Amino acid sequence: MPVSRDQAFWKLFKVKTSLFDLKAETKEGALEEIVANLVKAGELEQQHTKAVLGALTERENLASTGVGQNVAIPHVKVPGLDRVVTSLCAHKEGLEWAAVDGEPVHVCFLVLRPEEPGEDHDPERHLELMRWISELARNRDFRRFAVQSRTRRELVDLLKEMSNR
Amino acid sequence: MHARPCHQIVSAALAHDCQLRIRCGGAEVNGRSILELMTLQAGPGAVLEFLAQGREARSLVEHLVSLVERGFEERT
Repeated sequence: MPVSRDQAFWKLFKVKTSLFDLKAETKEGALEEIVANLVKAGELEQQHTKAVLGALTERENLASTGVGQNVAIPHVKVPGLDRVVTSLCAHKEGLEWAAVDGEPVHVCFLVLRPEEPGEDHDPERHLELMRWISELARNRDFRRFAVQSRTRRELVDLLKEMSNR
Repeated sequence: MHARPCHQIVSAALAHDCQLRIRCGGAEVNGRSILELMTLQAGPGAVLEFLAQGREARSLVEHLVSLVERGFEERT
């Protein structure tokens, strides 16, 4: 079933929270780099950093979020968070992520969400968001263009552009 | 469908020598791709249909049925 076009999930991904050229050389380093950028962007409070990294690490230990096709989708619930926080990132060389297909990860969608439903968090809509991400990530052109992006804006603009196809 | 059960299904599929298609709610996807599985609208109570073909098809389906029956070992 196609994902509804009118939900405009791309709006959840902000330029300032995205990184078009991750520098980390490990999965753990990449998660730290992304979370640090969320704090820098003002989307995550410093006090949440430890809990977020702990939750992300725990999630990776349960099962890698490397979903194959050079994509990772780390997503966890964060106590104290009152809205969904996202980041789209690209790694030019590719990172070992223990992905299900064994391939390196070039594109990473990080999604943090509140523990409980609330005014700014609807679990049903969240599942739709994850479906939308999956639809996009399956698109070979999206993955290719994401890795080739030269600015954050170029990277994030792909979401809107490719959503409308 | 949530990522973790998708991961469990795909890991099992990749460990078996066979192809796997999964049907749910009128959609059919490749059971060896998490990204395809995550696009299924398979909330609680959804009916999944496993279609495996190949040398280890029977073993895979039995494993998947067991996974589903155990609630993907996520029930608390």
